This record gives sequence, structure tokens and C-alpha cells, in this order.
Amino acid sequence: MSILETSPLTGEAGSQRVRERRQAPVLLLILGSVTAAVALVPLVYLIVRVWGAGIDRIIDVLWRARTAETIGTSIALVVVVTGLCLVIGIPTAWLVSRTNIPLRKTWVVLLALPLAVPSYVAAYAWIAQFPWFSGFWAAVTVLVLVSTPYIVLPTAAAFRSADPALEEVARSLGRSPLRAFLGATMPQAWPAAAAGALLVALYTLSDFGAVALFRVDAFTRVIYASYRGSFDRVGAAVLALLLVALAALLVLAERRTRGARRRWRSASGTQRQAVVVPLTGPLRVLSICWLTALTILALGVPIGSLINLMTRARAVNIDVNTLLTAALTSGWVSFMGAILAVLLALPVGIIAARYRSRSVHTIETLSYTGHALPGVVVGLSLVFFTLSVVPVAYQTVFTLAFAYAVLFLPKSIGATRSSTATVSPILEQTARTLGRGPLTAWAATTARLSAPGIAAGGLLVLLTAMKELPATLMLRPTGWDTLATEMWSRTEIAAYGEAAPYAIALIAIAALPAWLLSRAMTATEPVAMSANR
Amino acid sequence: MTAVRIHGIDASYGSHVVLHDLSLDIASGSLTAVLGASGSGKTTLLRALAGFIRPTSGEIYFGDRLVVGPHTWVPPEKRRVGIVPQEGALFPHLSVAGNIAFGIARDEDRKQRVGYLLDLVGLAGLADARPMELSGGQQQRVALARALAPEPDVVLLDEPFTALDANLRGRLRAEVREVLAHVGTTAVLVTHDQEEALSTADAVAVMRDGQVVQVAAPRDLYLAPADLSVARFVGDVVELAVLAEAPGNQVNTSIGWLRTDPDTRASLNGTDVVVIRPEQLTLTDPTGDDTAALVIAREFHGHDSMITLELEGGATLPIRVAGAQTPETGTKVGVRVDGDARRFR
Repeated sequence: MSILETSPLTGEAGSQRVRERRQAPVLLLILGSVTAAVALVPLVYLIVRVWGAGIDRIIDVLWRARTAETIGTSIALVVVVTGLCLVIGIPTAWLVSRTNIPLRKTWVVLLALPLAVPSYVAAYAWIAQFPWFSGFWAAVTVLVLVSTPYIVLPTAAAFRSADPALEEVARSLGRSPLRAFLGATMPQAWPAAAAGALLVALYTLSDFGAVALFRVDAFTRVIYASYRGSFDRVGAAVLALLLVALAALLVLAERRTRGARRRWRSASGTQRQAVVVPLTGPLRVLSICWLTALTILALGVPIGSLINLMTRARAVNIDVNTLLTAALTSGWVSFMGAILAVLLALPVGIIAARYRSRSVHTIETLSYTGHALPGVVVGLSLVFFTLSVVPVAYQTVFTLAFAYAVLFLPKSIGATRSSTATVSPILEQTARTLGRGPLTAWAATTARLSAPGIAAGGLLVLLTAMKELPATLMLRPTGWDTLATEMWSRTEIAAYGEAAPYAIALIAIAALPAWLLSRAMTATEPVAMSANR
Repeated sequence: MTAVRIHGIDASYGSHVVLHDLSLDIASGSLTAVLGASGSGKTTLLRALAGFIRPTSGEIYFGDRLVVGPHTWVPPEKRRVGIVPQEGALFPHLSVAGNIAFGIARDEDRKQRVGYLLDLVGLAGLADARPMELSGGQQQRVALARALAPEPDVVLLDEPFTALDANLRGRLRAEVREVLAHVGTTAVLVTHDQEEALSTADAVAVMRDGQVVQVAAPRDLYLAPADLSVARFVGDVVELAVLAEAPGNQVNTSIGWLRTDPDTRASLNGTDVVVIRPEQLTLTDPTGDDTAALVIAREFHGHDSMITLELEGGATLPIRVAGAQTPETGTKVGVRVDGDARRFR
């Protein structure tokens, strides 16, 4: 996708216009507004519910000591996990991008693989192996291990694509190698690391599986518990809204760094490879030990634990029928969610790729609401919504598919937008001059050429939805079980061996989204990234 | 006085030898162009001077100071060289003033020096601008000011004008030359553009296959190239086969007898030719004694024209004439040679 460069001096990029400045067709704007409205349902209804409870009840909930504790725990978790990911991720990124470490490409793959392990699967694998492993620091450990790739991959890509001439100039201006690196190369990589850090923060804040399994009273677990146990609806709703507010702050911050990253592209001249730092002797051994340790913790422990469980579970007798039923159920609901997401994304993606105006921008931004909504929040809000507004939809497959569509709409819009933008509008205009109407011209050119990209976006939604946990737990019809919920209910009763086949199936499902994500994060061109939750 | 003395350096990337036994002296305060086609090793030479790569043998002196030798290696930050990379490579996270101040020690009066340099390169008032807000030409000027800020002994310019449009390129070249002359710094300009080298530099070193084949003042280089390949590289040539020769440096060619200068030079491939520049040919009246020819094609460039003549016997000859005097195709003309030809064999 071509990115518009906007110069602050001239305002608009003159000749490079890709998007038309004229207003989008009214029909597309209306359809796009429908999408935005749908995306807003969970958030708006949550606000309505909280507001309806009355200011006294709200203050009452906010004043509870437990609320302050929850906020404190969540913020501490986010800060510690993000900080540790940066401390571990940046030097690791440097090792695999700027040194002569052996098997460099293999290390990059190994460092990306933890993306394919959903946090609750990783947490389950640790607990099954080490039953004493629990609490805040256990959650920190697992979250750091599964989300370090969000820092390593983009930072390593930034180190690789950093213009080596800058570091050379710094050297010739009297800086030592270390100070030249810090003064010239690190500022080029910092926006990528910062964007990754914000994704880690968002991922940690929205995570339900790891904090619930390790019994950490962060927002998601408290919200789920108060919905589940006491049916304290106002309390849950107020906390959910607080959680959304925090997540929204992170999303806004991430958008800003993305804007900054765009402007970081250096001139388009001959790009030379960065100078490779030779590691020798003890430093080389130490570096290899470091990467090996990271790999063992992030991959070795979960995989080893699962293999261990599987071999022991032979005696337990795996129920293949239940496994297949769960897989089919997951697939079927997620498929409906993906279809819904693609249909909703179509008008928004098209106008975002082709037109520039305030209304287009507003529709696009609002449609991305799901990006800032943790699954627990969408689940809770839709439970309220179906119960009091459309009781027939309560705990139906449709509501669950709807939740998936709202949660993962951003992925689908992103795919539609970028694949539409790669098709030159000239093709569609030429088809018009050859006698086709607007719709047939679109169908014959842009639609046909962008279809593979849009379908890939749909597949991404499908696979991501199949491993979604909290919203599925809250919204699934009674008696329906998906892979994620089957695994979850077995883990809750400490039937770890029986949960293992489900865990392996979930890792297999997560592999493709993880691969796509790692590709996006290692691209030299900045692209929109979203946490692989 | 010699500011830079390069003696017998070799450099290679892996098994690929890029510089081979290269020697070059650069006069203090001069602007020397290193001219070569891509792959000739000119950029590698610049990187060796800056200290970004280490030659495998040979010595480099800056003045009396040995910076590269068998047991000596001065890192880039201790060399006192300034570099103006291709397309500037300004630090995108720093303002214009921040870029220029990057190499000035903290205890010095940075602000005053930055102001002086901004004035020098004609960018006063843009101190707080960000690099991406500047045009290509402005970015190159900031890069020059940044390189000059720590008062380096040598400034290295790595094809600094290539990315600019033709109009701006000429203007900026003259400005850079003026700034460098004003501060009196020795400068090395690496370029593949012969016109740039000839018009900007005090001396031109032509590189081929990792070696310097000729160092000369621009005029001498153009008029007396060391071999046929250099002759072709530094400008348009008319090559005429030698048909016969006579005493007094006279040779017979398809346009008649020509006088050559006393030197003969290598043609590199064993052929025996004389070379003249197209502008040494003048059109004359067809009724005179000069060689008769027919205009068979013309290419009008405005300020001048390249026309193609056909001689009796079928040989063709390119010739450059002033634009206003372009003859029509089919005109019968005479053609005369001014000045000496150069012989290569």
C-alpha cells in the first residue's frame, strides 16, 4: 500500500495522490455508518447501563477499596510486563539484527513462534507442569514470554532498515561506536519499539486467560467473577467501562506512534546493509546462551509440558468425539463471525482506501472500536444487551458471531482497505468509460483484484475467533462448547491431561495468524498492527 | 602541500578486490573529484578515507598524521573528517540546528557556531526546521554545514548532487564550491558525472578497476586523456582510424591529413586511432578546400545541435554546432579540424 506523505510545508502531497478528495458515494457512506453503528453497540450499551444505574451507584462502586486494588493490580501488571518486554526485547532485537550471531534467521523464527501460543494455553502449560506456579509474578512471566515478540520483531526490522549512513556520520563527527549507535540508530528504532510496547500493554490489559488461571485480580478477572458469581451487574459494568477507558488511552497512544513512524522513512536512495558487529569469545557464547534461555522458557516449557501431558493422558483416554464436536462448533461460529466481519468491513475498507474526508475518517475510526474493547467487555455488554433489549438473542449462536465480528472487525477492515488500495482507481475508471455502471465496474476490476486480500482478512478473523476465550465463555449457548471453552472447563477442574489435545489444537489454529502478524511486524514499511488476542 | 597521501592501499569485500594498490595525493585546500563509473571503487576509496572500512594494506596520511598503516588504525571519530553522504542522511529526529550541533563539543559556543554555519550555507532562519520539511537542496546544505561544524581537516562528499534535479544541481555545485573555498578545507568529491567533476573540481582523479588511472586538472584531463578509455569517459569523442602516417606527426584519416601532438597513448585494445572532440570540427563552405560532406541527420538541443555528416566513401562523423547555425538535413558542407588530434595505439 502506498502511504501518502504529507509535508507540513505544502500541506498535501501533490502529485502522489492515491485517494480521491471528492466525497464518497452516499450509499457507501450509509453502509459504512451502519458498520460504525454496529461496532459501537457494545460500548454504547455499556455506557447506557452504567449511566442508568445512577450516579450514586457508580460512586459507590468506584469508592470500594477493591476497585482501587483492581486498578492498581492491572496498572502494575501492564507497567511491569511492558517494561520487562522492552528490557528483554530491545537487546534481543539488536542481537538478531546487527551482530554476526550464528543461525540468525532461525533465531528470528524461534523468537516469533511464541505468538502462536494463546496466553491461556501458555499459562495452562506452566501450571500443569509446575502446580505451585501462581500469582502476580507468574502472570508477569507468562505474559512477558508470549508478548516479547511484539517488541523484538518490529525493533529488529527497524535496526535492519535503519540508514547506516547516519551512524557513520555520527562516527565521523566524533562519537564512539556505542554513542553513535545510541545517538543515531536507536532513535530510528525507538518508534518501532514504542509501538510494540503499546501493543504489549494493550494485550496485557485485555488478557483474561493468564490472569484468571494465575488468580491475579486484574480488571478482566474481577469483571468476569462479579458477572459470574454475584451477578453484581453495576459493579461489573463500571469496571468494564474503566477498563475500556484505559485501553482507549493505549490505542490512541499507539496511533500517535504509528503516525510518527511513517515520517521516519529516510530518503529513497541506495540502501546499504547495516554494519554487522562481530561478537567473539565469551560475548558470543553469552549471547547464544541468552537466546537459548529465552527460547526454552517461551517455547520449550509450554511444548514440553504439552508433550508430557499427552503421553501421560494416553491412559486418560482422549474423547475424540468431543474434540471433533468442539472443533466443528468453534469453526462454525467463527465462520459466521468472519462472514459478518467481512460484510461489515467492505464499505468501510473501500471508502477508507479511496476517499479522504472528515466523515470517512470518522466512520473508519469508530469502526475500529473493537480494537480497544477487551473480550470480557464485549461479552458482558452483549449479555446485558440481549437480556434486556432482544431476549430472543440471549445466548444464541448469532450473538456470539456478532461479538466476534465486533471484536475482530479491525482486522477485516485493514485487509479490505490495504487490498483495495493496491488496485489503482484508474482501472475502475477505465471500466466506467468502457460502458460499465459503478457497481459492475467495481465488480469487474477492484473487487476481483482485491478479493484474495479480503478473503485472507476473513480467514484471519475466523482463526482468531476460534481461540477467543472470555466473550465465548459468557455468550455461548448453553450446552455449546468450543475448543477454547472445552479446554478452559477442564483446566478449571485441574483435569490437565484431558485439556492437552485442545491446547494443541488451539496452537495449531493460532499458527497462521501468528505467522501473518510476524510478517507484518518485520515489514520495513510500517503497517497497522493489532495484538493477536 | 599535501593534505591527504594515499599510498598503495588494497581493499576487498570478501574475495572481491575493490581497491588494488591505489595511490593518490590530494593537495591541501583543493577540491579534488574522484571520477569513476559505478563499480570502479570510488565509493570504497571514500569509505576507506572516512574509516568506515579498513584497507588490507597500504598507508593513508592526513598531513603528517598516519591514520591507516600496517599497525595503525584511527577510528572515524578520531580522524577529523567530515562526510556529506548521498541524499544527506540527516538525523530525522533532530532539528536543523540539532543536526549541525551534533559534532560540536558541548563546551564550545555551539549556538554561535551553528548560526555562523547556517549563514554560511544560506539557511539562516531554518534552525528549528525538521529535516523532512526541507527540499533536497536544503538538506544537502545542512549536511554540508554539519560536516563542517567540527572544523574537519578533510571533507568527503559522496555523490551529494545526484538526487537533485538538473537545474538545482548546477546551482548547488557552485554554492558548495564557494563555501568550501571560503572555509579553505580540503575536499574530496566522489562522482560518476564527468561534467560535475570537470566543472567543480580543481583536480580530477579518474578511477578504473580499483586504481587511479590519471590525476589532472580538468582542462588537461579533457584535452590530454591518459588513454582511450579515459578519453571516452570524460567527454564525447570522434575516433578516426589511422590510414597512413607521415613525418611531423601527420596522420591520414577519412577526413584527410591531421596533425597530432607528439605523445602517443594506449588505446588498450591494440587499435590505432586518432581522437578529436566533436567541437574541434567546424562546418565550412562546401566550395572550399576542406573535406566535402553531406548532412544526413540532426538533433537540435537548443543551445547547440549534434549533426551527423556523411563523408565521401560512406564514413559518418558527429559534429557539434551552435544551435542557431544548424544546417538542414541534405545540405552539402565542408568540414575542417581545429587544433591537434590525439593518437592512441
